[in-house]
Amino acid sequence: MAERGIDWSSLWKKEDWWSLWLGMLIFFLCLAAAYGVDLMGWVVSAKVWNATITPIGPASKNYAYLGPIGSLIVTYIVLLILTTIGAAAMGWNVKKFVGGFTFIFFATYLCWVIGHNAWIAATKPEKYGLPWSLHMTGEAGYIVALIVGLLIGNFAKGFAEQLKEAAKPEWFIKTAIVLLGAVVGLKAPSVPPEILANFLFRGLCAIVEAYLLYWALVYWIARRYFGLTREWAAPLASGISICGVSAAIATGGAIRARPIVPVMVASLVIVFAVVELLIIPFLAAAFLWNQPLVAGAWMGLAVKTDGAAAASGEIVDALITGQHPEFAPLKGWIVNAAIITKIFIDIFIGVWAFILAVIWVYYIERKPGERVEKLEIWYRFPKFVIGYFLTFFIILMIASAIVKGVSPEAHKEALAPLALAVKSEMNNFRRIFFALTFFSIGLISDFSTLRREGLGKLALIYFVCLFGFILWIGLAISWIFFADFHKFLLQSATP
Amino acid sequence: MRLNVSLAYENRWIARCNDFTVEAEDLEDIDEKIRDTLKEKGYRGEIEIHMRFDMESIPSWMRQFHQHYFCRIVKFHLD
Repeated sequence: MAERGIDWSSLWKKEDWWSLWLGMLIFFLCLAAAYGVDLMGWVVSAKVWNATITPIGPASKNYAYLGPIGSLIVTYIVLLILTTIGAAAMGWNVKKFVGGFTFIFFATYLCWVIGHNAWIAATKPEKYGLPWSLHMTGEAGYIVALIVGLLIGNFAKGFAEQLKEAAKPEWFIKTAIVLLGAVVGLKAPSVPPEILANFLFRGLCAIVEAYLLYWALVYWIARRYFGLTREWAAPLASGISICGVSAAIATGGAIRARPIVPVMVASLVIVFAVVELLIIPFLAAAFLWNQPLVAGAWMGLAVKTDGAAAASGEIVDALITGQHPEFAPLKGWIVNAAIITKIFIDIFIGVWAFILAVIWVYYIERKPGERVEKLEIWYRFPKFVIGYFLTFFIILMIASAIVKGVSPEAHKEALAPLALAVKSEMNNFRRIFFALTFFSIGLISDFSTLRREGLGKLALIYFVCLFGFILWIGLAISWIFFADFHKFLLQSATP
Repeated sequence: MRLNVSLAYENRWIARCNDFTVEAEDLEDIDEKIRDTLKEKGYRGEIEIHMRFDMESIPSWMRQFHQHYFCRIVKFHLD
């Protein structure tokens, strides 16, 4: 009977850590380009196209010789190798993963390219000889990927089942978020530190408010009006109000619920998250376009699961900056508002679950001899967040050092090698992982779940709470903390 | 003394370690059964049981969202 020590195997057996490793590896390999060694410039990049423009090609001119198909194939092979190493380390079925990833990668990239067609994506249709366009920017490819994923997931279920070993939206989005840190870090030197700190503080305040209001309300409604037991009401409250599946699991664990409880809640969360993803970003872009950061933060607070929330933030970012050129300098900041609120939510889940566990074990169930470990907070801590802040600060420090003593007019030129590494290469990998996330979310979202026995009452509570007040409280909180904040960022971006 | 136990759920709670496997409807009963089993096996004194939930009991599609369910620490004094 061995004593229990630190379980180091988590470092290579858990997806959360793998998001960190994969994101950081790509980050450092891309960063070499800033120092004259272009290792990753072959990554495939899509641009808005029409009949006369080739839609894809390598991100860096240094790899122009690969051509469009060459860069696509190299990108596929390298990502396949890297993700398969992760899949093998995590004990997944490697053969199924390779097959699934291959299909998901190429289908996703095809959707991504379709979304870049000028009729859909062009923000200046006249540039492409078109009388009009949908002005959706290339990010329309995400929507195409989501829809195709949903069609396969709901109408070709046998085939979708074969792909599921590689349909890992959480792994993909967390890797993308690690890389997003770098993209935001490159923009940050032009923003005064007090504004950046203010941005983070607002995100933190917003989620604390949300936890205190949302959770208590949903729990009370589920208990008072729907007669749920504590075992069901607590994970449901967390699932609906905080952060979807991960919160439902964390809360289920905290109150020692039977695993069937978070499983049932999770299957609802996933379906509702897709519904939100298909509606909320478009609502935000239509009605909150003049408050871009409110729109972004709202995605983080209202849309459940990391994947769907980040995806919603990305769509809002693309729609607002694409349709309103005056907000173009905010590109990246809007999705970052969504990510920051979501990241704080993820971090806070561990603390919240610990508080619940203490209340449950010591005050509600009072099991003799049982105690709660503080280490639970670390077990639940989202490790990819470390990567997000690392890449952010590394790029911020490098960029700040480069522009130190350089006149503002010469910043662009001085930062060009770093921009190649971050904007062209890391950002392209980030977009690929985002697109894979959209496709995978579609693939694993099975709407027939709603017909499953026993889910009716839970679905009704979910619907009533989500559309009755969670969305609107989330909007109000986003407004309180982020209204007009874009003006500071716009001022900073203007030389 | 510290003892590591893996906890799973397959329609009922199952606690396993090298020395024993016990099953019960709820966690309170699991604790009782572990205490009785340890007593039968001759354990005495302060025993701290570290139960770590086996994530294999959670469907694989769900594990990507959160990879830890819970750990419990239960202390017994066996005379």
